[in-house]
Amino acid sequence: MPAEREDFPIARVAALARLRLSPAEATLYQAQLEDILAFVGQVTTAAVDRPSPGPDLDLPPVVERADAVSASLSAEAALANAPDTVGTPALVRVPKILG
Amino acid sequence: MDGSTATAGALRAAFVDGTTTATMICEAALARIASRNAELGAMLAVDEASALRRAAALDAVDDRRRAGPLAAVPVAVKDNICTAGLTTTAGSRMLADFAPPYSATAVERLERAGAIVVGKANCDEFAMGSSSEHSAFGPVRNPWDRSRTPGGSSGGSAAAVAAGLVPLALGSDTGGSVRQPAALCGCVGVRPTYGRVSRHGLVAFASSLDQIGPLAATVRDAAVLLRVIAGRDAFDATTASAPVPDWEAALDGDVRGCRIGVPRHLLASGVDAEVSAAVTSALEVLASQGAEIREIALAHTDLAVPAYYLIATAEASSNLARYDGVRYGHRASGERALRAMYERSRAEGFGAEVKRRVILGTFVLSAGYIDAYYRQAQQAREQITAGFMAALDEVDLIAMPTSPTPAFPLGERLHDPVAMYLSDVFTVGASLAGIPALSIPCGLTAGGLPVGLQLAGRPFDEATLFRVADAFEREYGFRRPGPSGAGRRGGA
Repeated sequence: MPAEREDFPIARVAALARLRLSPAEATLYQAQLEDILAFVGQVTTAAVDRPSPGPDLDLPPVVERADAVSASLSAEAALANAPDTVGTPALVRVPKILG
Repeated sequence: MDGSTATAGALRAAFVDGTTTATMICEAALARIASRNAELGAMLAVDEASALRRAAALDAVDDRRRAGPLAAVPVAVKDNICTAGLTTTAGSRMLADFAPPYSATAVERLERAGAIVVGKANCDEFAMGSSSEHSAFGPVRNPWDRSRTPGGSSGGSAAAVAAGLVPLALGSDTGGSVRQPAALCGCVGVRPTYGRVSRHGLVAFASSLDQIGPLAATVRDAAVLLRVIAGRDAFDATTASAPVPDWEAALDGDVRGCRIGVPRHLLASGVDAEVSAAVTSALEVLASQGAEIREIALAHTDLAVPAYYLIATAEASSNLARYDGVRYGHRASGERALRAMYERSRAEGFGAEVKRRVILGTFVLSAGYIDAYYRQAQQAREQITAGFMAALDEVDLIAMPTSPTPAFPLGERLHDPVAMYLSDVFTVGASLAGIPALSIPCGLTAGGLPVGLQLAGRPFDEATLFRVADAFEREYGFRRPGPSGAGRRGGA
């Protein structure tokens, strides 16, 4: 059974996602997301307790690399795509965080 | 040699024996792209100068017998896979001018094997879509019928291979983005086991699901390409140390005794009649070759699409938080406050489908909803995985259609997200379970559109997938669409 349909809190969630929506986008996405939630919401009522342990998958262990200094990007290369830089060596420039 | 129909193996062989040169092969591929890309929209950036330099370097080596397994083979790389110095947009305005400072591990391995990266293939923005219409740079068109979608999100890669622009391409598969376009374009597409191929340099969408995979005209070419890019990588801790077999050496055409399970309960409704008929015929071919076809049950697969779209969007909302207009990517101009700059940069840089998914993912991870949606979806994922593993205890492979329909008209599902998401109904299961799966052409509809058969196997057992798919391909003898775009019939 789909989840009970409710108004999608589009303004609150867009703010959490750091997305500025136009009024037309907000109206459109609200309706579409309500449709999507009604569909994906099937999982909210599904009986999906954790399965009993099955046979081991025999997956290879995850190997971490050594914690050692190695070659890396230069600061110049790392900052080459920055939208706005200042100074030498370059620093990323952003708007003021505190007024 | 006609480079538009030659396999990668044939091109390499012609280069090694001196019949042709890497430069001639490369120039021919570039010419095909130049003549057909405007009508297909398959390629975004094409780096002619760099490709020809690499070709000249290959030609300058006297002893070609030690040439790499992909020597002189032109390859297209999906535009969400980083290529040093060559624009990598991920189909997004957000990264329209992004020139990566490094190449993805898969690209480095391609080049080490002698391949020539000729350019970047168009795709749905940040790989989010099933039609390649969600690209900021225009849609990709299906070479079999240009009024239809090639599928997505690796639609440019699939169209480039299907149209014979290149013999090989790299795509990425999160919920079916290699297999579904392969099916809709009539080529071979492989989603490797999760951990088989490094994700280093792949623009992240949903990290627990993303895998880079090959698209090719033949199973053998796909196997060679996967062998080249597979294996442990220190830059991706999720890559497996499992040995990478010589898959192509085991393509012996013998499928006798192979147990193939068919979840017929999934095919009972919602599948196009011609797709169903083509898949049934393909299974009969495999049975005639000695495979044993069995009916199986797959538990909880009705929850696969909902669970996938909850988990993938949750991960996407986190992964795409990095696009804030600060270190790279689009920055809105004129904002004097940091938060306003974030919000406008993201509003201007992201397209509609990405915004929808980021909002949905943010919602399902938010306080008050995370248990009902995200955690419940993770439980469903475990159940779905357990269902696949139980089935694969009884059979060697699972077979089903790759897509419930053939290629659909451009625009048909663009404004109906749920209808678009249901395009993935047969592919998301293997993604959630982390198991390998491939799509192989298995027929044409009466209208001349390709149909794909999907085979899924046990973790790290790509060998069985390739062996069975190759055996079927020997019998079926599928061909790519002709230069005019009109399809040519396959069939033995």
